[in-house]
Amino acid sequence: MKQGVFLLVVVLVALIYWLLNDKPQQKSPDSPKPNVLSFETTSTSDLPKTINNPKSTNSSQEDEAEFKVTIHQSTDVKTNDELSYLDVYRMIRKFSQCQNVIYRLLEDQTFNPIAEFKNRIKPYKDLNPHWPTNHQLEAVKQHSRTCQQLLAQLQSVDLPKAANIGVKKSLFIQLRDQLRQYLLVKKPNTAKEHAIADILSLKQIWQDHFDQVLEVSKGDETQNLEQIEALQEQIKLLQQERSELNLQHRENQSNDTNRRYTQIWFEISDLKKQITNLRLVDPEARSQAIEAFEVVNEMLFAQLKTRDPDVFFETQRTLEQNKYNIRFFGYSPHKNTGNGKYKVPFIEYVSPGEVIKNLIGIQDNEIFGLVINYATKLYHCELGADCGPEGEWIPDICHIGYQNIYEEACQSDLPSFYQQHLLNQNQWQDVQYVLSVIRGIYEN
Amino acid sequence: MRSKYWLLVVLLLVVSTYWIFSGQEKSENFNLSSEGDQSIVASNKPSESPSSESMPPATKTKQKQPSPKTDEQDDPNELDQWLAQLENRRYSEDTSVEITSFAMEFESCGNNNSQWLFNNLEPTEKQQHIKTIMDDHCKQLVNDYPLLEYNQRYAGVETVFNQFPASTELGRYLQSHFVNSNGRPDNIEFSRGLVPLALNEGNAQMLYMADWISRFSLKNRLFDKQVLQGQHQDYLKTIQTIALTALSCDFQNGITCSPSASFMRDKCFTDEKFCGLDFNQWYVKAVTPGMDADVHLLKQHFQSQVP
Repeated sequence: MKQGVFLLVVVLVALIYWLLNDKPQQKSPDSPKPNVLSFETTSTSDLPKTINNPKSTNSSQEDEAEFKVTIHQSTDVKTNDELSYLDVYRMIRKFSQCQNVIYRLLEDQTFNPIAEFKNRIKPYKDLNPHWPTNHQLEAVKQHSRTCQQLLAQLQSVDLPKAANIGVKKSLFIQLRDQLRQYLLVKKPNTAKEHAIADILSLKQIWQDHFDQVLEVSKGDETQNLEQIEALQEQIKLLQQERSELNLQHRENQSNDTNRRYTQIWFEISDLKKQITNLRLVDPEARSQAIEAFEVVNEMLFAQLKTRDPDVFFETQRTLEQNKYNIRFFGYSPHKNTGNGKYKVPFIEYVSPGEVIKNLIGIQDNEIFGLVINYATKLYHCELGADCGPEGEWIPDICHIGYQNIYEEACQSDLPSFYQQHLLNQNQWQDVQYVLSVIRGIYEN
Repeated sequence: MRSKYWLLVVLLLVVSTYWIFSGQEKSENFNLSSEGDQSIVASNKPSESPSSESMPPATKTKQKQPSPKTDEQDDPNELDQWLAQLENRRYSEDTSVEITSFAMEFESCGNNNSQWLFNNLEPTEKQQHIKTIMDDHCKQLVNDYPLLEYNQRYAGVETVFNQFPASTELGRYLQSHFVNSNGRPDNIEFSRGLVPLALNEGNAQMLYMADWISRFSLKNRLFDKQVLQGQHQDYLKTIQTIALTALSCDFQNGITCSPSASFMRDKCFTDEKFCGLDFNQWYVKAVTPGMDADVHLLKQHFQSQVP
């Protein structure tokens, strides 16, 4: 009997030990199987030296096994003569979308997009413990393939030499500038290509006029130069003190240091305001600059009605002064109109988003942003833009972004994703209403 | 042979017991550090447990906050001073609730320095007006409740939690979550539980606190998915803030909905056309029909949770 009890205890202990010890070794049934993707055949040593800059990587061996990349010249690569104006324009658009891959790849050939993606989604694992899904990983791989093919294409054509203006630029920026230069030497042939060439030219003219208004709005310093220089000197001294405090703060954190640091911030801010007040704006020169701007502005606004998705895209982003964040496609609340910097900010400027805001009567920018950007993107899709999984918008929502990425987007087109997943019924109805307003404005 | 068998069994038991217990300890330590990483609010909350009275003096001293004024709180007169300051109750007869509500009012003051809210921009006349109202209100709070002033606020809450027994369900909830969890309540769970109690007791600041604390968590939704469909986090978060603010307007004469309360103050400082409007006036000018419907749904949901 006693022996039986002891045996039972031993079995129980062994069972507990086995259960607890075995747990960490269990693999999630959802964990993705290793994938090996290779664009091999050409050695990386054959690549031009401009991108041959290997650096150490933090990727684990496991991740490297999941995504092994060797760049090579693809058979799909076109020669200089074969590339049309539209091809190069598309390459520019794709290059921008591929920034997350190409930038890293140019700096580090061992860059592993899958490992990077897994690392990026780590902070959101609590909310989405099953991430990354296979669809997400497939989308990352597909995106990386496309970007690598684009890079291979770029390396195979004779791009204009990068302008050396004495400023050190990253390889990515150099290549981007070369690509833009390349488009300028290409000749548009079709009506579509001419429309794109025209809008790119017009948007540059618009930007120049816009900048000119800002320039005359800054205010002239020459008449109060002495006072301004004295104030600038004070700012410099305060900035030095702040740097020293920074060093001290690293060694010894104290409330006094914090207090002084904040105080300096306010003092600098105050001095900058004094400088702004000492600048003089010539009202006549400013009026003339605005008058000249309005002519070009009207021409660019008219382009919103051309019903070409590429023309609409370029025009919308230019008029919203939204060069970098596609999230604000439709309305950007952060336009640089010189507010807080210039003597007289360019408050007269009304963007397309603001026109719609005034029409529908939603006065709060934050609330307006919750409908306008979705409605504008849907309108862009209606014009014929690629709104599928590898199009203009979905990759960003599926895997390129940070906090606002959604696994459901990876296999969807934009309108379906909005309607079926992202927006609830009431928000969808609001977006539909704004979309109808946009149609009403741009289709007539 | 039999003795060897015995020895093996005993050895196994000792090793497994040691292993199990040491494993638990590691696991507990890990959980604590994880919480510490997650909770921004928690770092400012009282670090002493409610049972600190029963602790040996050395332990108590070690756990005290570095503020020189904390010594004063050992003085029994200090408690009388607290009670004297809180004599005219605004929020609750329960001292824990009253003091936590004032702590939230102080929170809106942002260290009594609202200049930073303008981020280098010169406030317009209308914005300056609201800023002055807000600054005056904050100075008045410091004047009326010096024990709650910034450097003492959390130590003050701690003292009250430790010394005054809670007399309401809301007070007991606050005590149990702030103190028993070492000032690190789970943000979302804490806020979820707080909303119905705050509604039940008609406390505007506690509704504001529920929303404010939820913002420190990625899981910031205080309601289940089926209440409002969709995954747009910014949208759902906005609806939640609007719904809770709208509900709070009914209490304490709309203190959280006034033109200088944090919600409308932020709106005014971002866009001067909202300066001087109260929450309800802003609502009419800002909210879309779909949002209005969602706010209505969410308000109903929160009200249905009231015990």
